[in-house]
Amino acid sequence: MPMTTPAPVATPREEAREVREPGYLVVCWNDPVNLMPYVTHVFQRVFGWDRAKAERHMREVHEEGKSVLVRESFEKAEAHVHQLQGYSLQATVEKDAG
Amino acid sequence: MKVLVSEPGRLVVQLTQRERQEMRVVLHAMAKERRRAPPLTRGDPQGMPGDAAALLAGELLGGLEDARLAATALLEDPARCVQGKGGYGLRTTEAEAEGLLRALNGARVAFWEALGSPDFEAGERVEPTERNRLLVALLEVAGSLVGRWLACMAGDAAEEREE
Repeated sequence: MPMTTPAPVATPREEAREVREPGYLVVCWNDPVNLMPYVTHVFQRVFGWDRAKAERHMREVHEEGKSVLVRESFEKAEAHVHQLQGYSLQATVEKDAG
Repeated sequence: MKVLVSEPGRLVVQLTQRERQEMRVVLHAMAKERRRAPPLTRGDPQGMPGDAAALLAGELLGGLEDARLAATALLEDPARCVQGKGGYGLRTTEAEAEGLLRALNGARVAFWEALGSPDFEAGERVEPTERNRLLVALLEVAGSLVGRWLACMAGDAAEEREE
């Protein structure tokens, strides 16, 4: 008779902790419409970065197709994504697989 | 576009009549184009119920519409956009300047989406219909305004254009 072991089920508390932990990435994707100086400005505004850091990420978006901007808890990552989307940038939350 | 005063929390910019009119036209035309709501994720880190996603998308698009309305009101307010010899003196707070930038760029993205989100740099083209020609012109004008307004916000004296 085959025996099966039930898969572990996360409790609500574990799920809540996972959402609070900084395991989520804010990713900005390249698009053909937003101007490079505008993207730099938005990164400075949303993250409080200096111009050099904002430009570095902007160039990464432009040249590599995307840039991981920050690693945060789900709530904070989601808030950043909504800020970036409010500026019409293409940004998403992705779970950090690393 | 020319910076007249740039100090913490306050920006006064001289607009030519043409620049003010371009802003008004772009913001007006933006209202006719329906924006797509962006997805929260491209993977699936945290499935979001459809209702919540729709609510957030509505909030996002509502925020852009608020920025458009506020920017339009600013340009129409004779106490804030003061007519003078050389055009108009637009007086903004830092938040208003930021809102105008968001609205102008939001307009540009709206025209681009209405064109089918083409990648012109990659050689994609759109059908040469009358509507598309208008949208391309609006896209270019909005882009030019975004660039000049950004330069003003950075404290640079953007190139002043003659009427």
